[in-house]
Amino acid sequence: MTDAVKAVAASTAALLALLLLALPLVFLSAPPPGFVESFLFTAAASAAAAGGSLLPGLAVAMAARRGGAWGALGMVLYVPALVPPTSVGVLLLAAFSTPRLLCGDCPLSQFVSAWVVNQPLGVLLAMWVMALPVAYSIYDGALREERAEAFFRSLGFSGLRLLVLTAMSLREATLSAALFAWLRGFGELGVLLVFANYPYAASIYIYNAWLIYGVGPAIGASLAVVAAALAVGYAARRWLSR
Amino acid sequence: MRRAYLTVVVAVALLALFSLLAMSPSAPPPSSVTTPVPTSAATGQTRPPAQTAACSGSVTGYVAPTLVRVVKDAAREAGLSVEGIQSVGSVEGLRRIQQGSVPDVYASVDIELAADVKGARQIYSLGRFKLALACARPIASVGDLREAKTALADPNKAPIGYRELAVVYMLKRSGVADLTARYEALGIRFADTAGGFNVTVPTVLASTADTKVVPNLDVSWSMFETGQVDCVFAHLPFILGKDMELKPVGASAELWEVYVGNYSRGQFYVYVFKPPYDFFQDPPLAIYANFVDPSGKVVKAVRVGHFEAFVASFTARGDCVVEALKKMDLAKYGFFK
Repeated sequence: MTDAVKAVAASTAALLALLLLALPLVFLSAPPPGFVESFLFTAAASAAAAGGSLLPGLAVAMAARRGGAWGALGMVLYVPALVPPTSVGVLLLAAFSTPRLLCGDCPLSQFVSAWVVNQPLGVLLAMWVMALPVAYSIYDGALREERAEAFFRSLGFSGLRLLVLTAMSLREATLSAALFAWLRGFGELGVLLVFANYPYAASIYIYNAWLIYGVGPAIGASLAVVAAALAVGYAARRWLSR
Repeated sequence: MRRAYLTVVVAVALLALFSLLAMSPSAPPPSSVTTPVPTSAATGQTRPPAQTAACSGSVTGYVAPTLVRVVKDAAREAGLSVEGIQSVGSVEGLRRIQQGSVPDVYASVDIELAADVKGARQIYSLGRFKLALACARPIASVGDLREAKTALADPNKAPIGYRELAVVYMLKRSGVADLTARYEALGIRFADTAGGFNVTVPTVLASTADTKVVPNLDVSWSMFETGQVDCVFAHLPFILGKDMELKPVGASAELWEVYVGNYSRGQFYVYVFKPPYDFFQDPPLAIYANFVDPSGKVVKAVRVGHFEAFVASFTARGDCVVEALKKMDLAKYGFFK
């Protein structure tokens, strides 16, 4: 590593740490009640969403490498990253309102109302949608450097087994995709505000802390979430990469 | 190598110093503020009109969803472009200002917040307004809401939320209809007091199949527009702000006046409440909304009063908007003095 690289790395990390961790400490006060519940819920929902995004993300990345119409598939997965998260929330809300428009208070619309919008399943769905671009982009980058898919195909594997084996062979990429997709769930606010603002994910908890309790508790809540999520993510990464 | 690290350390130290100075609570807002006007009783305060030269370029604003249309119209009237006007909840806008992110203009539907606005050049009351109920299908009486799906703007963040709760319990007390069960299912409690009643609102509210708890009136309206819910409580100016013309329909009832409008899903019905349910005047009862955290501690208590909107200006450009508002006919937006 050259001196220039070290300097850029150190200054970037120092700047972020200063702006997002050190200076806000001036206003720090204790986070409001509900931190543990929102953290555990976010960790679980985001883990499920991240886990559920890996194989679809890999599949689309593999397909997109063929180019042409398959290449367009990758662009679809970028949609949640292209438009503002609030727009993704509005789009999801509109999509899940169509049953009610088409069939009124039918069982499907009742299911959506009772189990999806502003419900845990809605949070999971929103996090999954937002995790897909993360998984896809990491696998897309990893597949450019690897011959894993061709290798497993040459051995006669196809379908789901090919996907799983490729994901396992791309160990670093899979770990990165899982970790970043999981962390993405903690930062997501816009989609959840519109489409699924209950149960409180960490982002909603911080937003509420800011509006209801003020700046200090919001900073306390933010830093508590940062510390806990990074600690869990780091430990998981160390454990999984043994 | 050592020189590179030294450069980084010096740069970071300078940045820290600069940031601390910028974040200092005593730092004035980034505007041409002269002498700050005390705001505790500031409604209607005026200063000399802003210079015309200031009335150009783009105005920035944190404007409550209900007030976006009227404030944008005023800004255009003043010769300003409106791309910088954001629809932001009253409390969220105030929080941003308190943290030093001061726009040219701030507009809120909650007159109680005027006392918390510091450093404004002027604060101008837009007037009072009424509570309304919008429904996708006509309802014969307010009791029909028992069967409807509704959205509740979270009372912790949106003043209309706790006024909805207040009107619901007022309707129960006067024997018109008992709709409290759907709110009690959310964890909200109502209790009579000597001079009125208290509404206890948890800071964490879960939605039910019948009632969707949403962060603000914008999301509430989105739920209504997409058909997730049948009815929503809304400010009358908010509905008018959607560029919709409301036409009176049917005879005026004891509780409300009925109007019909059009939106993306076709016709909808607006029930504009009459006194005392409209909150045009202070309610005849002492109504308190108490917000309690999960440990049961009261975080905030609010005396529920009338609806009144205000605009605060922080810069000469903001003054241009306020001066334009003073010349406009605000009645067509649903505001009355």
